[in-house]
Amino acid sequence: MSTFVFATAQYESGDWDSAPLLPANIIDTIARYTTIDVAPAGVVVPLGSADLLRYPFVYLTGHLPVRFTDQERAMVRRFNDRGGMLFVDDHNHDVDGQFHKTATEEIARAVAPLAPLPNTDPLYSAFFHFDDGPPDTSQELNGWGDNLVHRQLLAVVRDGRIVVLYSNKDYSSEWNYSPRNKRLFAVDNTRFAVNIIVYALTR
Amino acid sequence: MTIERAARAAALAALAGLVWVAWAPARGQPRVVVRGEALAGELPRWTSAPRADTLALRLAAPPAPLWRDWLAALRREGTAVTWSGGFPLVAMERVASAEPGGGAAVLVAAPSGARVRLADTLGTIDSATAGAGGASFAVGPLAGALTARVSVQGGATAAARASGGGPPATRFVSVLARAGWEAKFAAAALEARGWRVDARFVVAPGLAVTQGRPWPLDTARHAAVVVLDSLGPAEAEAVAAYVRRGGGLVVSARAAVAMPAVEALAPARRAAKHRATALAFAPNDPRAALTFDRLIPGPRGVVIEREAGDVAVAAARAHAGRVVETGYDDTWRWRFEGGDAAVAAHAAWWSRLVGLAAYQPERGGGRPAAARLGDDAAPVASLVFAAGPAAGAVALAAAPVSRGVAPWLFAVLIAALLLEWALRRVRGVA
Repeated sequence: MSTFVFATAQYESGDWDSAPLLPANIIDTIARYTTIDVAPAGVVVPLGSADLLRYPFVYLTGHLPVRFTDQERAMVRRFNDRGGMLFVDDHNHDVDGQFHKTATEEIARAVAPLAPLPNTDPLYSAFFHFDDGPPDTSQELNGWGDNLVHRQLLAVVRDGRIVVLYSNKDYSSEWNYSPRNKRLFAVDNTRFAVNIIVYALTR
Repeated sequence: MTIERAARAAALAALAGLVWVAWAPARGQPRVVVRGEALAGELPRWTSAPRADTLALRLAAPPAPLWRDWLAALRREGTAVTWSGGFPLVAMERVASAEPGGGAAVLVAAPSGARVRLADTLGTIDSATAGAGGASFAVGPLAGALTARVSVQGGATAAARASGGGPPATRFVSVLARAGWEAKFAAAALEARGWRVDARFVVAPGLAVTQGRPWPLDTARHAAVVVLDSLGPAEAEAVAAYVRRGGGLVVSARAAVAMPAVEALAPARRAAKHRATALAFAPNDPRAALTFDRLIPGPRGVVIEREAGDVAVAAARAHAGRVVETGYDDTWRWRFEGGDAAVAAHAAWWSRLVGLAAYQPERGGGRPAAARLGDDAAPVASLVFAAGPAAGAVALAAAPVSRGVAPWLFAVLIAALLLEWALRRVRGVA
């Protein structure tokens, strides 16, 4: 049985570890709602290392400018060519921020330019149903960052399948808390993470 | 008187000769020998007017199906047919691959040491020297009819022909598993090789992500089912029933052992883990870097793949279907961590596995290959069927008796009678 391991990308530039509580929270969510065989702890994987190819789903976030090294760029390209899915979240929630500008440039150089993902994409019904597209975050609703509520995610789609999913929603802030505090929410705000993981495992 | 008696005797002899000539066609000539190259002209004439009791053929090569069938018809009409020839025995079987890419294994029966040349309408595909029993070839998609020409020392040749067959009708493969990397990339590999994939990935109790129509299993839709994780008893029994009806099954050893209904059909028993013997996925032996459940084949089991002496994949026929059991659980790592060709190699491996198990009804209404129009897969065997086994060498016989003597005999008869009558008048008797 191939166990799902939540992997966080470690890259040379920027602050790759800006959401340290998020992996454990998402692992808890996966175990809570699904029968997916999930490893109890996540891993950190260097983006330019061959180890990247041991984890077909990788999460990448940060606040600071992102500049991939040549090795990182090559590995990301190879990772996607093999069928891997990269989930990138803008921890600034700011389309004018340095992370967004540089990360989208790097994704375009390494893989392909990002494009808006329709809110009817199977991603939004892979497990829970999100009929209005990506769920809003408290950061968006509180007017932080770029003071926008982003109605769509961005993606690189290849052969009908998302290979890079990019968010300005700041899920890295929204989901960055201890899983024990889920009991404080009337509705679990990490449910969309289940869709992302299930999509990665089944599409 | 003497002349008169001589004339009477001559008349009686001519009469007897005429009776013999008149009787001869009914009794027939014992044998007429015909060379193979003359069949085209000889058989139509023979059909309208048989020339002898036995048609003896001296053949340099097996005759074409048309002449064979004609000979068989003559035999049924009462003419004995024998043949002799020094050509090599040959037969060919084309075993079509069930994989969407087509291709086939071609088995040619030929005398040991004979040269076997395989060709389609575009030209020579491959050649080989026959070992004991013949030669085998693995060929890709074919253009038109396939011909196997067998030559032996001395120059005698014989050829077998079979239709090339088009690419197989692409049917569905149902992939049933829990959501996971192995199931996802197995399905992706099959799609990459042209299979149409129905899939059901279970993500939670009572909840699955489905693609297409993976369930219920039906040989009319599904060429095979891939089961990577255990199913409930009812579904396991349905999978077993599908196999018994002729469906193909690729099952992981871990799943099979958890489903008694499927385990009963499995070709092997699951044993202890075989640990990977390599750290990296080398292009020439990539699966050495994978750990797998060691398999111990049962009496029906056929070993498909070994790794460092341990059986990793086995197969067996189960009722009307076929089961392929794999001990591997994480071949997706090979696709990801292997070299540049790993994605294609992983896809080819999975496609081959499914192709081994896949249910593929024979095209053309299930007729055997040799019965297809234009096929001549076993010309010598067909000749034996049409004209019986080979006889010893036959020599060309004397030409048949001509009926041209009858007028002469009649003339002699009349002349003798007239002479006798004239002599009797001269004597004053009549």
